[in-house]
Amino acid sequence: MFYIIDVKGLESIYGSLKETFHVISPTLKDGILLYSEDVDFNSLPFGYTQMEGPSFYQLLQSSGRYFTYLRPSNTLKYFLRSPNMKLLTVKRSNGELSFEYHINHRKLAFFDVRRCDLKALQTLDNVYLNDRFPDPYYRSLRENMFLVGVDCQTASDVCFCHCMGVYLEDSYGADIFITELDGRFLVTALSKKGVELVEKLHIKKASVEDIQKAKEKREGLLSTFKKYLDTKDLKENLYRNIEHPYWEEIGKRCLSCTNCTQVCPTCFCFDIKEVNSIELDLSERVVSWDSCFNQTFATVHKFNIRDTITSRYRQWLMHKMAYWQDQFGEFGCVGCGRCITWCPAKIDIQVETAKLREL
Amino acid sequence: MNVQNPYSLVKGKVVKVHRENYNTVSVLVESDIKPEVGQYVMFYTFGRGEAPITVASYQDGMSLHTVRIVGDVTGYFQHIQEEGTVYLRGPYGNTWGFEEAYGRDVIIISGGLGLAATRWLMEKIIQNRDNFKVVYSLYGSKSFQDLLYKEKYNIWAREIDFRVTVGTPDPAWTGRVGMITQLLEDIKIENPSIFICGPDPMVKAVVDILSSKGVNKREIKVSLERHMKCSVGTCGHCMFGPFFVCKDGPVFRYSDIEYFYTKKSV
Amino acid sequence: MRVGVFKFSSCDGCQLAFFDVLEELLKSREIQIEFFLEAQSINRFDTFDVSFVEGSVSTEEEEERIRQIRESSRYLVSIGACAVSGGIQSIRNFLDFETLKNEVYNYVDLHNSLPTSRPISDYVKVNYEVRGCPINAFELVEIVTSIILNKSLTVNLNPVCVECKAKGNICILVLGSPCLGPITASGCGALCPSFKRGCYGCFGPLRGSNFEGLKQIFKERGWDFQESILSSFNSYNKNFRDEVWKLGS
Repeated sequence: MFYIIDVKGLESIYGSLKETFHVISPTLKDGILLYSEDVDFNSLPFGYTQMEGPSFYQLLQSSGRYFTYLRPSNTLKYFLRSPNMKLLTVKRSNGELSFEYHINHRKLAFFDVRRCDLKALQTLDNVYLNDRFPDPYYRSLRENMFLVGVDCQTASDVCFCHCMGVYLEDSYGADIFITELDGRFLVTALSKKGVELVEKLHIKKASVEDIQKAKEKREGLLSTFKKYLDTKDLKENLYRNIEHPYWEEIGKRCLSCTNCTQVCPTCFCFDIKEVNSIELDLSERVVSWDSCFNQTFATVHKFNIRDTITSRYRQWLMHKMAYWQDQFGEFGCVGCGRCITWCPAKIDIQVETAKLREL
Repeated sequence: MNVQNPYSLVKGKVVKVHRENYNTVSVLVESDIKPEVGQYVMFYTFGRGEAPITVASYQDGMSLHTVRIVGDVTGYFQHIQEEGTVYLRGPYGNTWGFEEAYGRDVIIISGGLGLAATRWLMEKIIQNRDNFKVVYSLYGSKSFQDLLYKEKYNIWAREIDFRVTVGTPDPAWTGRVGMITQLLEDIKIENPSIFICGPDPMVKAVVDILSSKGVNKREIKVSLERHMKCSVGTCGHCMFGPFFVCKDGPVFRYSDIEYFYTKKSV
Repeated sequence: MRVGVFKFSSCDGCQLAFFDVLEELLKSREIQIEFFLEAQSINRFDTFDVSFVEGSVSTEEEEERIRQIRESSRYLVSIGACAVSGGIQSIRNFLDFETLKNEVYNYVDLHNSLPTSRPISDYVKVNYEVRGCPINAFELVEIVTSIILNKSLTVNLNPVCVECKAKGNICILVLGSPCLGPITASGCGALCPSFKRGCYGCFGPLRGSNFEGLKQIFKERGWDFQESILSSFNSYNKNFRDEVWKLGS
């Protein structure tokens, strides 16, 4: 179902979501674009653009268009699996334990999610849900979620989603998708939830010309990508070079700071910590973000299997670009480029992968 | 929708505690958990966290777990009492899949605490003894003090060729002294099915000998140990190459993992 | 659990952390504070289950006293950058002591300092080190809780960056502030970076971190790495010492 709206129409979609959901949308915080909760329609960073490069980020104000910016610097996982999430509370009395499990039933709506992040969400779904042990914490939030996808208008210097299985024709589970035309917006309602929301607003159906124009806009995006990664036989090539001395070169530069894993929309690794009361009658089990770059991550009997930064960087890149294919039949990288922007050491995963596959 | 929470803990009753040696205890636990041969459970101890512990034996709702007291969670087992309560979840992981050895020779190789992971397998083979040809079970222990299940050796030896070696001589030990690899040298090997559990360096050494004797690496199964937090394939800690040891393993066909297993720090 | 709190060469700031969480600590009926000069008038020096030691060793008297405390304690926990690394006063370890003494003091003979200010672990066995200048009071509660539970105290091996991103911060090193976060142990809750100020390493160096790598980044951006390290209160930390010496040459 296709509809056409103006900026007032966008505002009413946003407002209508706010009636039922906790809406999360991109906003400016100290000069950085971030997904934030409890903001309003006016805080959408309309007209801004980002310049991003290895260890470089700058925000610019552009001309009168709207969705000219790109994906925010944080990711959806921050809201789906917060950095410190209570898993269960254990109470102890008279030597017996009782357990309370904290499954979150909040209804979240994301307004303005770009294709890379939508695809990343599906990638996370495959980790948490499509298994013998679906994760009820993730599932509860995921099933109650509303997703508004938005088409990008340009790619930044770090974007390479077009090489990582992110296709313009796919809407990746979004309930509605918005494409900016000149001063107006084509709204594509994709799910039942999406159609219901839009129908309620009594907005105009789109014409065949509008739909055609949106398609052309989308296709125009492809010519703006500056990065390219050849993914044909990527896994085989990386496996072949798993012991290549070049990994050491990256290991010398990598700070093992974990920035890349934490800004990555698909990195899912976590630790479970015990938070105890001093009276020792209460203990919380807290899921907190962990990273394969941390020194205790792969410890067996106090012996760290990946004891060098080189081996930990290799683990990360290999997982994203190769292991993930064996595990889930897709890449663990969606080409959003966040890890490139936020690496203090200017390590560029696309450049390094391209190099490693050719060695 | 009612989804089973993988982090839900169930209560278990400690039926029996048996002190194996200076740092290891075996506990017999009665619970609703229904494991299969080769699987493990997660034990939870208050304020300390969880640890994966293999199922060393199982019968009629009672599972045996052999725990070496080294860390915080296992430290709890130091003072564990009969009739006490424990909390656990599971079972997790795949199984030894011993049925594929029907009609063939079998070699079980265990190093150190690895014997806990092969004990139930051995018992199953003994129960179905007629389905197998020659069965060897080789067990290497660091020292006499570290030996597990001493009271069982004679019982097992009646049904299968069970051989033990310890790493250092001891006045109290009259059996073999030496490496487990030496036990392998002495036996005749003919298209056997092989099951191994032990420290990584031992596994590598044993596989080298086996393959020099012409054993196909597809016929070797290894049970691995890695750091685990969730045990359901989401926390990432146990990842080893493209495998999640917690759910794809702990038992792997050696030919599947060889490429990654033989690389340093993978 | 018999607890002692002791002070060596330091500013007393870390002992104040006890006051911040005293109510919480005393909720446990296990804890008896036997010795704590800053907090109580009646003190008993006998044996201790846990001794918390603040400050560095910088006089001969202190050298003697730390040995006594060690002998009397089951656990010895050093608290804060002075006790763990030698503190700000350990900058003298990298300079000529005699020159320094004459420059700073009018009456040199009143002065009984050792030529170096050293961490507690240079003199006696330390069971656990609580990082920070000052220490994080919540970490103190956690440590006490773990000791009561007889749970091991594990050394934190994550950089500040882990806590920083968990707080939802964006990397200020990338945005142009000199930040020691990647080579500094976490535990502070990324306090400074959360206020857009670079980490100055008050929790001390993280073992196994890429010192050289960060040095290169500082160099490229035109920041003084040596100065940042020397003013970090932790330059004499065992994990740093050798690297810091190299910086000068």
